[in-house]
Amino acid sequence: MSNTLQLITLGLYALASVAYIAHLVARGDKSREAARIALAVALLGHFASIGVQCSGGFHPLTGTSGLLSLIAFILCVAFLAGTFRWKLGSLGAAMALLAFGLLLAARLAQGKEPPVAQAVLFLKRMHLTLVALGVSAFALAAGVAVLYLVQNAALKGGRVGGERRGPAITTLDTLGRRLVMVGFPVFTLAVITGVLWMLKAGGSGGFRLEYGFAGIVWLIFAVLIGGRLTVGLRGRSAALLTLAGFGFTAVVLLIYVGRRVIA
Amino acid sequence: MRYVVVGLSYRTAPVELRERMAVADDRVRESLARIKESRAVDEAMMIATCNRVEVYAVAGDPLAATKTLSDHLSTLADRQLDGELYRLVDDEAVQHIFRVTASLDSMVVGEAQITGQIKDAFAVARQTQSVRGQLGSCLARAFAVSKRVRNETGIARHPASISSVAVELAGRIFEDLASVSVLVVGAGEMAELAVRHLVSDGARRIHVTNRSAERAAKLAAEFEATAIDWDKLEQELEWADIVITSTASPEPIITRKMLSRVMRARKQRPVFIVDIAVPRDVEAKARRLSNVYLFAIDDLEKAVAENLSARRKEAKVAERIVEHEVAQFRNWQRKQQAAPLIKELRRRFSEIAHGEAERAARSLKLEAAAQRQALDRMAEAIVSKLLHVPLVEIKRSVAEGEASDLAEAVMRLFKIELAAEDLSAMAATDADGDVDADSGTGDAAAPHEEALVGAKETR
Repeated sequence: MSNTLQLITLGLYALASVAYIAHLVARGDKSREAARIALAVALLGHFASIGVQCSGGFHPLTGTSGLLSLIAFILCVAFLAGTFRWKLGSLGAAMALLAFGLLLAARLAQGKEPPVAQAVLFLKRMHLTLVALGVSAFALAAGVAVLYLVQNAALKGGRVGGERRGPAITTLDTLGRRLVMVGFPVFTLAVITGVLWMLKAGGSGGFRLEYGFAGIVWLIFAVLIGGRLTVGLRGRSAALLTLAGFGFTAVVLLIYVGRRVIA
Repeated sequence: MRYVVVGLSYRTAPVELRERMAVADDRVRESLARIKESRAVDEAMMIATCNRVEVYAVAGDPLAATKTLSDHLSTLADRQLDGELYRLVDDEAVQHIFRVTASLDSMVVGEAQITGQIKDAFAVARQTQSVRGQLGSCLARAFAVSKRVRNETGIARHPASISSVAVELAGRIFEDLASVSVLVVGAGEMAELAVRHLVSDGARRIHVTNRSAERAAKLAAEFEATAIDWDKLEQELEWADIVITSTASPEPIITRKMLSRVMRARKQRPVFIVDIAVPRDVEAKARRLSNVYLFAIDDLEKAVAENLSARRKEAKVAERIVEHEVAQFRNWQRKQQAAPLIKELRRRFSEIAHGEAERAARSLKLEAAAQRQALDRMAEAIVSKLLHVPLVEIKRSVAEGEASDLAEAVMRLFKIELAAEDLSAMAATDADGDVDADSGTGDAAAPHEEALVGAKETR
């Protein structure tokens, strides 16, 4: 049942991606609405899939697979909520494809999780939950930063004809700041719980590449927040730093997932 | 009754003439009263703006109506108008009313003002009781068409004036204009216009500064703003989110260096600067500063040109909607014209059927109400079935503009007499085909007259 639902959800995200790509071509209000409905249906399927997993006694955050699935879910919920306020249709294709890719990776990583001792299970789940929330916040901040940079380039380059799309750039800047402000402490806690988990598990494995990249991520966002609070770092510089921070976050995630998929 | 439009617009008349004729509501009322007195038209309304002066009318004799209305407009212009006037009849008149109301005939295609002006003109005409059902239904349809055009096309989506582009740009930088601070540098007309737009879009906190403190105070009073000393310009820049400059200074008054200092002081909070002055008030190099969004008059004009081009593309879609709506309206109108005949025919048949049913009930000595009702229902059903095919045929012929022969035959067969105006409406429907081909501007008056005479002879 759970497996069938997962496959259906994957199919629904694929459909939503197609709908948003079609909207990129058609550019009409109706196509945008149709794509939004397709994404909402995919989200419902996703929710049902997670629900069935839970009711079957399987914790959704026991491993990489659940982590990726939760990130995809959070991102799509936030995006869908945003579409009710702003015209974000052009970002929809990227969002739906990202969700599809994350779910596909989740399926590939399924069942390849190394066994975890009962003593550290709670810490692991805590770590994965915090990672899911932190990474989602950074991913959303990165999406907002991309929108900011596109709008900023249009305004600076004098390409100002046509219709206004998306939020105002000051709103994007504020939204990006808030997301990083929320994501950073969560990510910090994720790092701490991750370290505790490894220590409690016996500290095996030594230094891994992703630890170093996670440190870089933490440093970039710390600089960003410090800059915002002290010297008024904002706008384009802040957006670029956010993108850099998320870039390294994605690298950490890729290495982490890659190990599970290849294993 | 036929639709007639007589008027002039920016397409046919120079601005001096239009200015002279763009009269206020009081004079429009007087004009409508005089048009009514002439008895050449049954219904009329007049629209008088700086871009067009037109009379929309309903008349039995379009030729007499166009002549009366042309004479009237000539009186308003204080000279004989001829080449400046267009005279449209029937479908062309309806199409013109729809196009004007949907802002497809405007100087700036898609501007919303014209629809409001026509609504106002319609209200004035209703107050003076110079419009009734027929012109009223045409205008009601025109407003619906205008709404449809706005909803289904992007004709009004792109701002098409310098000041509205400036406001639209402000909206791309700041979500809510009510919470931003505006600094107006210089008290020129363009700056005033831009501020007016910003105020109407919600801007509240406005400061004005000018070399002449007196002029600054005057403009500030107009917008309930605060006048600021010219010497405090740099200090004010640290505070303002939107800056509109329009001084006559030959040198830039806001340099890159000054703005760089200002941006540091305001912790890089973004600032939107609209420089409407020629020569420019703000050094062009300042554009390169982060979080400074500087737009000169050229940038705004370029945006306006792009938007107008986008509107023109949308206008093509809108024209198709109007064409379709005109055809729909014509069909609806024709069906309306057949209504008196259909109603009379049905009434006549029903009367006979129910009379016979009553007689049968009496001879059968039917006492129970249920039995009498059943007989009545049977009579009504026979009428409906007998009349179904003839009524469908009448409606079809009316929709296809072939009403009068069939109507005449039906009236002769069943000895039906209709009111004179109902008869002429049916005949006009029949004559539409001939008139459409020739009606148009005043130049086509002669063939148009022949067509009308032909139509009368048919009757």
